Amino acid sequence: MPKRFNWQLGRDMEYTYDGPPPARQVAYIFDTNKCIACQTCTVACKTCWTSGKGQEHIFWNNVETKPYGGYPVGWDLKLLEQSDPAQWRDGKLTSLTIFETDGAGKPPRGHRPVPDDYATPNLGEDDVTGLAELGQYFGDTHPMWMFYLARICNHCDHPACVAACPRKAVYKRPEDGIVLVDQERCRGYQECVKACPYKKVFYNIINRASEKCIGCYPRVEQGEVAFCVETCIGKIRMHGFLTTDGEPREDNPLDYIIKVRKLALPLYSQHGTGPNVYYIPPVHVPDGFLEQLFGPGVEASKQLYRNLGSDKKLLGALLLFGASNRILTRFEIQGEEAVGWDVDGQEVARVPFVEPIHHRPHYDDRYDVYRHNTA
Amino acid sequence: MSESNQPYVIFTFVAGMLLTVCVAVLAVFIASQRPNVVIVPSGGGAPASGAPSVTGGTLSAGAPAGSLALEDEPLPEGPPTLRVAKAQTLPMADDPFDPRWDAAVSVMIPVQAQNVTEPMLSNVTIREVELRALHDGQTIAWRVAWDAEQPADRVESAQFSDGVALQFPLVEDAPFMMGAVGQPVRILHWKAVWQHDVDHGFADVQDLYPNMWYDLYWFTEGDRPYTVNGAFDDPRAAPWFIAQQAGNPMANLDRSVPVEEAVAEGFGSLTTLPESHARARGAWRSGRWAVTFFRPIGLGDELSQLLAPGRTTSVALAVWNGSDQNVGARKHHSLWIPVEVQP
Ligand code: SF4
Ligand code: SF4
Ligand code: SF4
Repeated sequence: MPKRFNWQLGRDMEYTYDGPPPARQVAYIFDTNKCIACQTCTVACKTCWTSGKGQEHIFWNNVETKPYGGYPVGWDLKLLEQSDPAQWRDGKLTSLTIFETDGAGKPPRGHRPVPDDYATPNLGEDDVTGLAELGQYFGDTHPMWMFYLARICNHCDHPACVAACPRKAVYKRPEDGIVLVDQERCRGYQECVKACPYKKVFYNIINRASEKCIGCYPRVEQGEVAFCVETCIGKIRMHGFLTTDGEPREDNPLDYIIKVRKLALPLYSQHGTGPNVYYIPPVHVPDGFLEQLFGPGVEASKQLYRNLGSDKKLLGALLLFGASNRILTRFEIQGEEAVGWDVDGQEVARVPFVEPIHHRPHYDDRYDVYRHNTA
Repeated sequence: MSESNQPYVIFTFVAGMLLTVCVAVLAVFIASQRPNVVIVPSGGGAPASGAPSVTGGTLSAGAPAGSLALEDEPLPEGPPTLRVAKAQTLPMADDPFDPRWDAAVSVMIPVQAQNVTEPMLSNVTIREVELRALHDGQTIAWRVAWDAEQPADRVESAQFSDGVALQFPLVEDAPFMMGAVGQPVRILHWKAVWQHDVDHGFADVQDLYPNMWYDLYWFTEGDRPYTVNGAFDDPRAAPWFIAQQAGNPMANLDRSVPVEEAVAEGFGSLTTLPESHARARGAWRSGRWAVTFFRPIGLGDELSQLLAPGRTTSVALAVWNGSDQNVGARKHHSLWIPVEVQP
């Protein structure tokens, strides 16, 4: 079995296929600190792509409450239970990935959710880690916590779904790294469903084939961000490309936030698939839990986040989240504004560091009306 | 020979020796994997008189009449030949338990877990299948039967279908596991889920979940529960049936036969043919599946030429236990069984 370098693990890794990386890699950054679990992203994706018959349980985008929530139920816990705990030394993974656990040439280690696991799309919603003591709400910061984890397919560098399909019906596009299931060739074996650590491939009982997040590829081909990104109420998401044909570029907002500054971290990278949704970890959640999800870079990332006020370029990059429905490929700080350009080199976003204050008088001359909530 | 060539020559010699050893080991392996064939005469006793297929009650050269397990005997030259006898009338195509099948000699074929390519089958739940075959000069008919505690014929996530497939080599020496590039095999594949579609109508969401409520399907006609055949005829509803739109044979909402004809040239290459000439019917009764395959002989295509009266060829079987997550390559299979279609 070929060996491939997995940069998230800092080491080579067994993987079923070899091949050059895509010309550029589609990637997303989700700032968990800002997500309010409004599920607008979920509904946008579902309404557009998965509202057919047989797709009732299919949520290419879902938002769950950690630590207890998850869809399908226990998607991550069931794999963690089957795996040795992740071990890191100096940023390098020393434990085994899902491609290595069962030995070279074996299918990736995984589990198949059962129908009941799909019966509750938001089990554990808003559950915190414990009950608050009486009166604790009025006291200091209370020790309970929870946070929202928005999830889509990771369009992985080394997709488990691709590795597992005996028919080679799942493939990674060379132009942008988007991972797709060939809807003509799939015979519904559900090997990909079993292998994907994120359970982002679903079996459709009417189409009798497996279906997964298509990365909104028709939009990406037009230079537009995914539906789940454009519609995000909390502007927690950025969608773009990681550079694959050279060093990370400081003026590519994704390269900069993910690779240069390491503010955003991959989810469960220890499984080895090289996931490309990168999360800014929630600053209020204990490191122990977060490190299981996001690896050893959690504390450094939290420090960066807390220090954003004096980190103008990084803050500027974050200001561009949700600032345009175009994919940003370049950004720059110009004075007191963050500016973004799209794939065609057009300026499509200009966001001030401080929003201007508009004073609207109590009486509006133009309409001859009084405003009542302008205080 | 120049000095510089010597390491290369030595390498070639060593590699050649290694190859020879490998081939020898493989040959021993294949020989030891040869199926043990059990011959059972029709009707459980002496051959039924007048049954054309069981004259003499023998299937293999030298095998005596009567129920005989060859496991304890010295292995014969090769697996016994399945002789497809000519019958005046064939059993009913739509009744796999038609007693007329008793007149055909049955061959018990051992099957084993597929452990050549990934994904493999880890758990053996079926040990043998019973195969019978007859023809009437017009049609060749096969019946496969095996024990199954429960039928697995429903579609769901993480649930799979019982099934059985007959495989024929389109060229001599095609490998018994799905053929190889340039050595195609033809496959007739029956699936319990498809049989359920044919018998009871396409399995819809509400057949599995009668109380399923869903707010929005686009461009439906009529009222709840919006049956998949009927409520989605508006062409604007089509994009949500992607596999069907792509022509995926799995996504046939209007299935009339529970069998597909397919070709393969190696692992992962199975391709459904646009037209299936075979008819099939499977029925589960008292812990046993029986599945019949009927296919016309005079079609003139490769497979009917192969199975024409007077020809000899081979058949291999695959069988899936859906209740134990058998699907795709996670299957039980036999080796090649020689077949002689009697004139
Ligand atoms: S997240 Fe899962 S479905 Fe998506 S590319 Fe990775 S392995 Fe495949
Ligand atoms: S990228 Fe597109 S298809 Fe994928 S989850 Fe987001 S909206 Fe859905
Ligand atoms: S739309 Fe944005 S804020 Fe709302 S749940 Fe989705 S990711 Fe979170």
